[in-house]
Amino acid sequence: MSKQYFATSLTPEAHPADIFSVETTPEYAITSSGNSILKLWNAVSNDHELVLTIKTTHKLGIHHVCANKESGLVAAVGFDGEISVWSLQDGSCRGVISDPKTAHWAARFSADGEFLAATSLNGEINVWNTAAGEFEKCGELETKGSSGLAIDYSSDGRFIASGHENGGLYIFSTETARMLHSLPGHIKAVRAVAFSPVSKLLAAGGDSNIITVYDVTSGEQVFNLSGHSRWIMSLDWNFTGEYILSGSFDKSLKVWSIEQTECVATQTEADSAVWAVKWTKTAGTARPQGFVSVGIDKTIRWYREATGG
Amino acid sequence: MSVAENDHAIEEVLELMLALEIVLTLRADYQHESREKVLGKIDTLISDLLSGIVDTGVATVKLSNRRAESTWFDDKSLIVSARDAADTKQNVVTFPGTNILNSWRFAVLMRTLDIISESLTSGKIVTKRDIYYRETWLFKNQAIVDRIVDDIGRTLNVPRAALGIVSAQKGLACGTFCMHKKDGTLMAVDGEIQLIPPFEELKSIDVMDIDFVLVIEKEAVFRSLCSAKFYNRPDIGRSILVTGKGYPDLAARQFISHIAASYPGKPLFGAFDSDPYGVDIMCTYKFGSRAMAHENSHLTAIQMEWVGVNVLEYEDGWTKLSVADRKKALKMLSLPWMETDAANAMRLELQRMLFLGRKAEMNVVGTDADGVIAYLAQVIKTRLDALTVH
Repeated sequence: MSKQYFATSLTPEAHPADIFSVETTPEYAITSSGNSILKLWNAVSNDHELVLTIKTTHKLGIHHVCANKESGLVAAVGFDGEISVWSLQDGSCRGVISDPKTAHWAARFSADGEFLAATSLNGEINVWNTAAGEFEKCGELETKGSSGLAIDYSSDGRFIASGHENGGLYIFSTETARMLHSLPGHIKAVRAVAFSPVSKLLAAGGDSNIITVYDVTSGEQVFNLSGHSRWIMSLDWNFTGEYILSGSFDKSLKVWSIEQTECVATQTEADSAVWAVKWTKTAGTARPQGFVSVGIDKTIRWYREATGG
Repeated sequence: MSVAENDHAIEEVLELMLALEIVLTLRADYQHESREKVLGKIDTLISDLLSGIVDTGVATVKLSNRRAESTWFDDKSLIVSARDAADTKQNVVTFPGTNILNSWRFAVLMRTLDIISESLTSGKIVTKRDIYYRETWLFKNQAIVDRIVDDIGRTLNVPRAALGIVSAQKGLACGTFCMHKKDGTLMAVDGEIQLIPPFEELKSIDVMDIDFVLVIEKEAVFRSLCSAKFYNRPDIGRSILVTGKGYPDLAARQFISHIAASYPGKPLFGAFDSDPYGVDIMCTYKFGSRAMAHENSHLTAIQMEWVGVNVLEYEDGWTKLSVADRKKALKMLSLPWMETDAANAMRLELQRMLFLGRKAEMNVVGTDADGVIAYLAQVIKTRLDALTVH
């Protein structure tokens, strides 16, 4: 059974360069681009107007952004390798994480907002405590040294998963800071990893064009989703865990049903490489869960499911 | 350098000084005012050094260096410019030197001044390579000559060409055009590949009815484009193809800059590898180089447009970005001109390389030559069509 989604709104020229990343919170979609600006867009209204602009210190551009509603923080990772953390409330700077020896790459907050974890180009994964506002480093996870391109924090806070340039895909226990599983299935770069909402499954995708799905506890590969013809750049689960959204270098977005283990919708409106996709988090409103996509066309596209009848 | 060699070097310098005086007294017949001016500057420099030795036993010269801190980016004219020589850091060379190295430097300086003076007097143009081959034992390697020549230019605040020196020519051009040389010869280029002569030797360049100029980074790509008659195609029209074989020499940059200034309506395209070096070479054409900041104003071609290869499209050439590539890309991104609109395409290209961890190099191995040609023809056609519409 296929599903119908339609683009409800689009914001062209949202940034002057490629939009490399998008993050959603119940209130906002947050976008980052090849300049130093973070933009917060209203996720609830129909117009999705610009609410807040944060001018960061990343002069060379921002490639990753992540946010957390509990702590009210948004973190940006720049091409300069630094991470800066800002208040979602007023856009004030809450801290800068900088280490000349480490170029940070992808970052995620824990669901409770107490921790921030980030991969780096030399392979190490660092975890910081956000609580005191000092961003004190509280953990380091060992990998095999290949650049970490993707990271996710499970919603129960027990696991961190990372995807690497050499195809490495790992699940760590946050309790012991040990690697639980080194997952097979990818021999090329893994560019996206995402835990399912109840932390049972992990989805991963990248240069092999397939999405692999694993059982988090056993580390077993449960199924694959194939259909993209090019690299998978971004993955996200909807809040019920029934669907995975993927964005690809092949210029399309796809929605995959976990039950049917197949693609149920393909969107090709962008007609250019898609860098990031995210489900909206405006649950609880009358609105069915939709999604947002960004990419090289500098445009933000908002999608909603077509309701029957 | 051994002590014996050092003695030899000092002897050589003393001999040269004697010879120089003779050369300097010979300079009787300069017609060219600027040449006379330059010779005057060199005279002053040499006689200061000589009287230094006569009066105090020590000769000292301060050479302006041409490092990054002695340049600035003029965001009005979009050119990398030199700071005033007086404001920049200087390297002090003394004779007799405090050590062997310093004496050798002095010898290198004096011999080079001698050759410059000689070539200016005779009105002959010499290449940097010529200078090196005159005294290979003294100069050790080509880079020493390249540096001292440009240091002298910067110190005297005159363009290198005014010293009568050009770098060894390596730029190539192809297409349909005529070059009138000052010695009266006419070089009609009609499909065969020509070496771009030193700009000083040229009187004028006549460009026939062309639709665009295409500068190509790599010689191999240039040659396959030439043999495929890329300069005359029904779909994209007539063009002049130029390559500087990597980082271009002065002659190639002046040639491009001149054509760009003379035919401002003609699109000027650049085809480079999508790697940090390709972007850097494009910047050298477009904004100028730091090393030659004191004469960039007549060397740049700000209207040059990046036509590829584009890292997003040219997957035939994909390889992984190395750690060194990343470093270079970040350095390039931090340069002041990267924030200007004129650098927009290059900034995007660098960011995409970093984001994907890939670079794309133009390939011409085996059957890929056709791939490059088709790729460039298609990109250029799109650009030309867009120009006609607007």
